[in-house]
Amino acid sequence: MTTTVEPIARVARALSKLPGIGPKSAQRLAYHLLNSPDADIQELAESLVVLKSSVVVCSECFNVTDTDPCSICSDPHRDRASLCVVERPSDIAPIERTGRFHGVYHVLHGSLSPAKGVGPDDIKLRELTPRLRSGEVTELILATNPTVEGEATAMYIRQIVAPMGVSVTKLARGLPYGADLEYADDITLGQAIELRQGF
Amino acid sequence: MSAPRDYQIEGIVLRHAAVGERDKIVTLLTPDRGKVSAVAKSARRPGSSLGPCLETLSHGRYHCISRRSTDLIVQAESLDSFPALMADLWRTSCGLYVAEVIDASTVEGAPGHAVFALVLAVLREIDRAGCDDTVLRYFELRLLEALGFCPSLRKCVHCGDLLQPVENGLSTSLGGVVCSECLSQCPDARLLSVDALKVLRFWLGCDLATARRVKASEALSIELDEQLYRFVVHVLQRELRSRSWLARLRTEMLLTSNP
Repeated sequence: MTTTVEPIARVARALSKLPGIGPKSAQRLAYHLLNSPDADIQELAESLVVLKSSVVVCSECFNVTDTDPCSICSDPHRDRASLCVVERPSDIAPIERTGRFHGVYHVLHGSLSPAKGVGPDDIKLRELTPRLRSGEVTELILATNPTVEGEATAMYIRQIVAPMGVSVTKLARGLPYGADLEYADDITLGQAIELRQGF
Repeated sequence: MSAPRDYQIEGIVLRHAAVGERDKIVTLLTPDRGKVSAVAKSARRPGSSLGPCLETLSHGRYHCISRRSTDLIVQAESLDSFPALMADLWRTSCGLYVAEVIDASTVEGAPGHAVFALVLAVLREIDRAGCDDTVLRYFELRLLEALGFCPSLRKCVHCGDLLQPVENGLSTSLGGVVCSECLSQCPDARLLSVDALKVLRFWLGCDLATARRVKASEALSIELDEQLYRFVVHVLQRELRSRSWLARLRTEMLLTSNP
């Protein structure tokens, strides 16, 4: 016999569809929402409704945005000669936080994953070529994740970009700031030694 | 006495997936326990000492803790990172094909020393000397052997007669070669040339480095590829997704190198 009333069970069912939320957590969250002030609930409900209807994909860089083109692509102060390729829209924020990159982006919305059946046609890879052919871009920065799939994607892009004469660079690999050398793994440390620079 | 809660295993990472905010669930191929799934906490955090040892195709030693749910990886030590394999798109793709085939053909909890040794030998060879058709076909044949599905190559699987050096057939449903006399009675059998049969027999009796000395013509390579892949698909009961990627990559690489 179910003891949870239907409106709470309905919210719990909806929440449990979210990644990382199991049935128990969903039920806890549903009860938490029940006890929250009406204004908070109203705000949450409205923001969820607006989320899907107002967010679009930028037609230039394929970042998620509320205006097309996005604020980065429409900024006249951005350097359009530098194009940074990232896997997901959420990868842009950490790069922007560094304050060191002033170019524009291209979001792939995924990475090549042969075992999962994700090929070049399943991500925004074909859309990269016309941007490079325009002649505006002089440097392509590959900022894919340092994983096997991310590296494969970067190597594939390098291969298709090679005939276009655009300079291709990749984010450096090395030791994270504040790390203890003693605990560094041999892959990262090996790359740090290999890619060491003048000081 | 209860089994110890923590244990150490040697393994090769076949795949991984993100769990929660920063965790990973990893599927390892191990010699003693077959496939093992385990969670690695905070492995996706930059600077995590676990992260680099838990990438697909990493070979390492893993310190795990048994739990009622999925086991936990608490420490990892890299044994092989295959740097040359990881630095080349074709080699990486071949390595991912090997991982997909193994993932599809092994189960959790079933020891597989021969399979583990084969995968390690193949990855080391790809890392050392690159990957060609011979490496992948040798891998497929020896994997079928290690799993107990090796095609019978000496006697006709239909009548039992010794095979003659003529064009015979290979039947996936009967599990081996059928002689030219029985060929018409085995509808799923496909013609197998004398050279292909010789190569398959040779590969079953040698190591990978020796197997690579075989210089197969393009036609023979295609024949071996099709025959072995038919066998693999028959055993696994599914197509392999990485295969179409390898085919595409090969075509694009040929186009790039011969504009």
